[in-house]
Amino acid sequence: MRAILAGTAASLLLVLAIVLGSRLLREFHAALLPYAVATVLLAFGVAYRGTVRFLSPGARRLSEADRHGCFLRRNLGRAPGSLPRAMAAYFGFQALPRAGSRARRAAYQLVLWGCVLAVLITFPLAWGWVTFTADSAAGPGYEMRIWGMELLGFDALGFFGSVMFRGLDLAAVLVVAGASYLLWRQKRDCAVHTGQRFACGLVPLVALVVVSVTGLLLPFSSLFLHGGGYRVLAIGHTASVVFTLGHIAFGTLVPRNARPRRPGPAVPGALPVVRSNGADVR
Amino acid sequence: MSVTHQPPADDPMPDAARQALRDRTAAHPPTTRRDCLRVIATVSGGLAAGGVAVAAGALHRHADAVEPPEPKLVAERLEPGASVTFRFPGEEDRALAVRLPDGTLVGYSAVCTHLACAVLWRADRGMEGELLCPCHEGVFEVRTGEVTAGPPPRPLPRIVMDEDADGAVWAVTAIRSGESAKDAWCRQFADRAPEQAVELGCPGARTPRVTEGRV
Repeated sequence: MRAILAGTAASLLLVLAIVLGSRLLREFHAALLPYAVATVLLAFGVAYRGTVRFLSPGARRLSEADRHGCFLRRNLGRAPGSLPRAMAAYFGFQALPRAGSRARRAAYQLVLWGCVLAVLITFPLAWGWVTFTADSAAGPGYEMRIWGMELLGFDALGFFGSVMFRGLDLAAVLVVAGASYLLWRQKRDCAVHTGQRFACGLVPLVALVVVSVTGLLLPFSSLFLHGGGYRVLAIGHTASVVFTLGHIAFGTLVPRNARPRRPGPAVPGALPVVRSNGADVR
Repeated sequence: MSVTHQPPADDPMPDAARQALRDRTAAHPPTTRRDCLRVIATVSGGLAAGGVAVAAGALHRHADAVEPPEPKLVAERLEPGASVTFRFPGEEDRALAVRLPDGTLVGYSAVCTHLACAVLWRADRGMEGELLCPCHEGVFEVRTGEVTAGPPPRPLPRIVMDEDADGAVWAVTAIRSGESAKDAWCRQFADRAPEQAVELGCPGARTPRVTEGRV
């Protein structure tokens, strides 16, 4: 019940943010509705799942052990730095243990930064927070506005404008490269390193590749086919994105045989989980 | 004793390890078929609800006015090849007007029908210029507003422009994307001018009754 409440609260908060951020839906675009709905469900799923997970007896015992370990004298000095260390490790500034070869680490980083870039671009657009306007009909001056306020002005037909409008294509290329490599190496690597996490799941990687490829087909249609087949491609892309976000929210991301030994980051220097009897269960 | 009835062997797994295994399993509940069906139903329901909200008119339609708009002065003069931006019919509705080289005056909503980026007038493209949305390379024909290339699904909403004797340029009314001028007139002005509505054949238009007083 608490999980449902948490999920509902997260969804309602996001809906409120969408309504207010899009200036009472004035800047909200109907074509982006499926993406916005998918993000609302994603918010529900992530909050629901996180609450279920952290309230489950096993996780609760582990978090109690974490708390206990955190306040042990020998860990006190390291405790404040553990979260920044985990973040630095996941964002590629530090090598994760069991991350595999250099190529594999690079593939992880490509997928990660491709996804981060795509989320930063698409989520505010889908929520109606970001709009592009022009004060002069002949251009090329363009204004990027967030919540109705001007954020930056640029030349829509210049180099910066091209990069701005091609950000998602770049993200798709990064993700395709990284996810394809991980898929290619999956059979061998996952047989060897059972500690690997999402890269051992087939569905998330395939879903990311499908989203990226269908996303790249859209500019291909615009640039080389004069928009031919765009609507069909756009529907396919929307369906793949909605499926992927739904899968992140509710699906099984990590196969059971590839799950980490305990919830939480596998980071060098992270706090060991110490039980009250002093046993290290890591 | 038969081989099928073996006494339970000593459990090689110590309690702490067993507890840790149980903890790990409990922390990752598996996704069941019922969960999957629930997800599909929730996602579909969310999309259906959103679609119904859009169909019911919950979202603002660009270049659309609830009330018939008042004519608006947008420029004192517009030379051939020049363009101007303005807000019409509402203060939030961005629009542009272009004077073509042959003197024709055209006006459109400046909001792309694809994903609502701003539309620019490019005099150097095409035979007599084009309306371009740089976000996704959407191109509109400048005389009609029809889509000639790129992803926009519908033509641009038109703004009816007029020019007075002094050369001042006015925005008169807005025509929805894909709507005919007659339908736009009937939608906005049939109530104000019922006789003309009958002449034009607006749907639902009736000749106004003349009330006669008894002598």
